[in-house]
Amino acid sequence: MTDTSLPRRDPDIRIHTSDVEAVLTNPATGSVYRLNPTALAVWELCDGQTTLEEAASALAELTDQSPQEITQDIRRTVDELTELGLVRE
Amino acid sequence: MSTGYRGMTDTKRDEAELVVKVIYEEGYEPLAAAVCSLFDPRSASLRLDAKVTAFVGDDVLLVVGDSPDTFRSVLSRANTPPTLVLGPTNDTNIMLEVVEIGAIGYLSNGSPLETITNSIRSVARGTAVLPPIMLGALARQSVERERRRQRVKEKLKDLTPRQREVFFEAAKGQDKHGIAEALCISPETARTHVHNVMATLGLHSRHELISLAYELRYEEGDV
Repeated sequence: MTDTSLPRRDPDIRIHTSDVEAVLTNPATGSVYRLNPTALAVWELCDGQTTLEEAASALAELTDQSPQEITQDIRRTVDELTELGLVRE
Repeated sequence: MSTGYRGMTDTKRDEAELVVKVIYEEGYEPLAAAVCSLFDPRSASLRLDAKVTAFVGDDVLLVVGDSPDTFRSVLSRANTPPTLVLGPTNDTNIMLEVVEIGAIGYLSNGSPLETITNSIRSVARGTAVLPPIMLGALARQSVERERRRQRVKEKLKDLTPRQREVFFEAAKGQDKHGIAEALCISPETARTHVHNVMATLGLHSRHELISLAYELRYEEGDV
């Protein structure tokens, strides 16, 4: 990922949510991924337009993490989502 | 990643010591009374229209209702204690707004009593309470609002000094007569200025103007 923008969600990925978790399914592979709320939030912010700074600022406001901490978490999560093919650079 | 998310923590605290003030819309009196009965005897519930000018000695304020106006009116009062709002289920617009104007918790007003009391304890500790699954939607809206705020802040620079004066008078809730009196201009001139200010800023209502001014002033001390 770049410093300026988050990647885009893979439009083929399907999402199913309950009150407490989200499950993403890749129809092409049949793989299923369970995301915690913050990972889901990062995935939802991956629209190809939202910047890392914007995402960190918004999530820091909604959680008890500092923008620095949440930035690291976002980077790590995006790397994982990219590795799993759930977002595209 | 670690969630770092503070919603719905469940650490116990002696709730008997917590003084909870509940302000409720009509129809929520039984819920308000039930909540109060579980906390310190000094806890009390009040209808929305009760006159409350201060929340002295209250540990947590609980606001129960369906209308955004209810939440705005209560949260705009001075010196509110940590506040939990019980509002419409999964309404992310309301949820985001109440968090932005000062609430540190939001739950569906149909939540079980145990969830509400646990959340009151969390709020008393200063821990945010929000439905975890809504975090992404809230974050997206927060990003959008911040972008809009930045766009309007840029546009504010395009106002003339007189228009800026009009902007702040209108932001105080003044109508064209009040603005005219404050700035020693005619009401019709005031009306024209307000029209031009709103057009320049891309605003559609006085309410939007007041909200915007509040947000910007809150952020910068002055624009």
